[in-house]
Amino acid sequence: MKLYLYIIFFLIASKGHAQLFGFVKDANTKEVLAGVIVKNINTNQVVQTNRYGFFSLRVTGRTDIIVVSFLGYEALQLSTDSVDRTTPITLLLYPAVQSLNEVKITANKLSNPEEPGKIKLMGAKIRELPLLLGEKDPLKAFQLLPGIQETSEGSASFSVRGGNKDQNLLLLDEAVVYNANHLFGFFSTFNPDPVSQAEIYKGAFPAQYGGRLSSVLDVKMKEGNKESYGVEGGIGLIASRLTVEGPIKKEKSSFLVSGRRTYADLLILPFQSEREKTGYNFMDFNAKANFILNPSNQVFLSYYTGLDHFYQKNKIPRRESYLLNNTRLKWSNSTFTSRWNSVIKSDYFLNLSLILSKYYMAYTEGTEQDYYDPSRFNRLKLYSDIQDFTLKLDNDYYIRPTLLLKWGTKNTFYQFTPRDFHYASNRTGEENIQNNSPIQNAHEGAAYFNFIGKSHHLFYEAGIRLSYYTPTKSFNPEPRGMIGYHFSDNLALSGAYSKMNQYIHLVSNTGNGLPTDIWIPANKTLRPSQSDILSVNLSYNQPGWSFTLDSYYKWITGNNEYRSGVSFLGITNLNNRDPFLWEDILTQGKSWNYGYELAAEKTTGRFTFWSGYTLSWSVSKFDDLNKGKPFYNRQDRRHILEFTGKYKLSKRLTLSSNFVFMSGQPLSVPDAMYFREDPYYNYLEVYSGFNNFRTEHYHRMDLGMTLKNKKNKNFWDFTIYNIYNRKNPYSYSIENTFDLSGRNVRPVLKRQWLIPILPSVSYNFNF
Amino acid sequence: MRRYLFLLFCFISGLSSCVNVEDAPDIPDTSVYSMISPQDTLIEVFLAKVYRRADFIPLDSGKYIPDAKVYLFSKTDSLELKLNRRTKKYDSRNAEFIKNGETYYLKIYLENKILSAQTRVPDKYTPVITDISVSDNLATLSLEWSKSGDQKGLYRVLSSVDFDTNLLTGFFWGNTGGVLDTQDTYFKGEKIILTDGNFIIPENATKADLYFSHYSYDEAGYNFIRKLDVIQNRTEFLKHFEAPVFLEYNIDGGAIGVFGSFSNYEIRKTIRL
Repeated sequence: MKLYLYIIFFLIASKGHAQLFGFVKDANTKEVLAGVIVKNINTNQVVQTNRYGFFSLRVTGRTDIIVVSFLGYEALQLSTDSVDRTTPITLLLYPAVQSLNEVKITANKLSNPEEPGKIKLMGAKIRELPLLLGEKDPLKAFQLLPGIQETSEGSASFSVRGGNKDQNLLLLDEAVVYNANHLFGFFSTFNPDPVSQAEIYKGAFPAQYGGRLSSVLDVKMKEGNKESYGVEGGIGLIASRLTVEGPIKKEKSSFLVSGRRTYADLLILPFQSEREKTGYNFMDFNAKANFILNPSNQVFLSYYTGLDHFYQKNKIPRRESYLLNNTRLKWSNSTFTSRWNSVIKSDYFLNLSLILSKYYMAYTEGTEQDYYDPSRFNRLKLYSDIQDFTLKLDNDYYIRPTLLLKWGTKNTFYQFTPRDFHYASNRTGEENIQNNSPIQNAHEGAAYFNFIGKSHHLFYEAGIRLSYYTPTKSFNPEPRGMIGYHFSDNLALSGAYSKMNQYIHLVSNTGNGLPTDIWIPANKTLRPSQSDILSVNLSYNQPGWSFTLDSYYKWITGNNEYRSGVSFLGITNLNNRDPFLWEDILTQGKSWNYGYELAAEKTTGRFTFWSGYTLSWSVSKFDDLNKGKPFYNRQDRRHILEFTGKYKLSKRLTLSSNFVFMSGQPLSVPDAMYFREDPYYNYLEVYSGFNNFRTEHYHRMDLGMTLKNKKNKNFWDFTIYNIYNRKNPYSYSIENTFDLSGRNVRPVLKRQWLIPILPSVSYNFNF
Repeated sequence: MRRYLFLLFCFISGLSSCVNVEDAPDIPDTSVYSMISPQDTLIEVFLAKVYRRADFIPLDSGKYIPDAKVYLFSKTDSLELKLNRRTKKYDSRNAEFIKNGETYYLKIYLENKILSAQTRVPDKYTPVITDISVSDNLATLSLEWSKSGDQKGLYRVLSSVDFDTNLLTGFFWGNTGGVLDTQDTYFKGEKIILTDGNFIIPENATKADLYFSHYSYDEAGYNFIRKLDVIQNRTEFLKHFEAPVFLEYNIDGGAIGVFGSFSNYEIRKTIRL
């Protein structure tokens, strides 16, 4: 507290240089623009707008020329004589008009040498990619970048630099999204239409972020057009989307509502028999409103909810009755964010956020018998949820034009219901098992300070995050630092170190069954996880081109794995206690992840592309697994090659393509079998080690074509996923085949594959 | 510039100091299974081939290994086990050869290798029922015994109930009242409270016979049997939610499998209704 008072005093008592400050916005929609370069030509000083579009730049008492530039927009030049320097100003940038003849098509670059480890994708760029079933998914888009890989075929879950999927912090307008999967992972919960931009940090983490070990994905929703009403949407094979936005009060407030729903279940319903009905659907709903109270104060409200619903009903005829089987799985995320932005002083910006988030998963399975004995039943219910309430304060203080102090606090209060398990049956005598883990509360608090500065050719960030977690009474300082040097206008080298702590763990289904995820708090046995990440970045930029080489080393302690033979449902576990304890099925160990990432990007011309190559290793060691010896973990793919290209054939027609190659990943597969007690029955499978088998390589190519109408607003989007129909490995199983004599059986490993060549078409409109 | 690039190369190379991961060991071509007990009248060892993926496995009994010499040693005595052509196992009568608290050594001579393993048979003990109650379809009883020496104390209890109807019904589960809490039939400790929540007494029944099979295992046998139980309880549906089972072996000389031991006590208690 004393420290805060000192900082506030320091801010109030600070100097009184002339400042030019305010917001940069899109001239058409009046939405704020983050990452815009604002440069004082006279002093050569440069600042960037923060995530809320705010900037503060020192000006001289004389007439200064200011240039505001952002890729994809016309640059703006103004003189300080013409602006009021006592109140926040609004600078409007007009989208650049692109002409094919001039070959000046320019796309936003993915990375900035002064922010190594961060990759930014604008919503528009995401919507141009050819992706599975034409759904333009931000998470799938990031999986086409080096260092980020999908966890399994078609999955929206991803692994960053060897980390587990739960080590990624997924934020939607600052609220945590605990499960970003739709359709068993094939789509993410991020509907692309309301997405303004998405950024991912895979190293060199700024101190304002914490709580996960491997990455931070920060997705920002559009604010809604403050000038005019607009409707945007798309009709696809699997889902349709509709977004409406517009002013509530022109230039003062706006709203955005957006929805998406699948209709696969409705389409297949008529083709299903009375005896068996299987269905699946998902939906998303986003809403946002923002209000400019006065030039210095704004309020934002944003809401998201999504739901997945899978069901299966079987009606099996018996001699005199029916046996009814019902299986149902639901999972849902909901988030709510309210934010207040305030320009306290010309060089001091404040954001206060109140955030709520909830994720739940409910699985039910049951058998009922009607007609003669309707009372007979067999029911299984598994419910789990995580809820949090977060209060967050972020402050940006421009100490000097070249030195920015970001500081703030974040307090999250969790309530976990990790496992509410009921099994009831009256088939084989009365049985009613309740095997629950108790509801748990936890508080995670953090305070951070981060200095971002420049000095001649040097650029740096130095910060610390102090985190606290109540169940384990952990207090952990997390130092963060980055230092870089511009050798020339084109060449920059930087190095960074980050320490991260994670206080909640994800337990996912152990097998290939339904994608059920459960969040549990760290405790004294299942300790919080920690990572130390060291990275080096070399960046070379030419007009229209950029190349980066990254090297990283990441140590993780407190990684979780399942113990041998345990069940996610906990029915046949070796150690089932009541109440159920997760530490009975999980064990903790260490992992080492290291590698190189090479990326190239071309951002101008008709043909633009990005491409990446990753050479990496990911090794784990657990005392309770593999006899305590190190083994390659599931994320260990030695070589990954990615390419995403776009060719603008004409004003109306654009062709695009993705190519991905990944070496095989380790998996535990039986190597052999033997007969235990007699020569006929009781055979057992033998594993030579943990993750003893490496799958076949994964590769695929996707093609896309976008055909716009004459007004360039509506367009058809054609996508062919996996164009050469590669049967990529999804899972493996042992199957027995007989030889010609019929006297011998041969156990062979069969590859299961999931997604064949898959064409899709969608019509997208905008008016 | 070249100097900077060279320095960069050195720095980046320095980051990637590799972690050594050993190749997975070869799987032996032979398996052994034997669980010995003082209460068994037969000592058996099953010796079989191990089949790798894509090997052809005969459907007939041709999986066993017929031409081995199998011996069992105690500190003072030895026994040769001969192949039983009917069961395909090497066996011998247990004429008080296996004793509680003794250590036994298995030696198997094959054409190209010698396999060996050892087990210490758990000490003798006497489980007794110290408390019993029946009310509202709920039967509860306490079983107690004492552990001796430095044995681990790894146990299993199987149970059944027989009313006058002569139909075996119901079974008892361990619950948290014991020294160590457990919900399945395996546990560690010297006392367990067992309950049967479905103790439905048939009409006209006058008595109930409660049967308990109490097992005490050595560590290798206990770990193997427990994991085996997990494998055997798996259904096709549950397989989708379960991690693979990695069995542990204790055979030296180039074989997989287990040589373990146990003691078994049968307890019967009749209660008048």
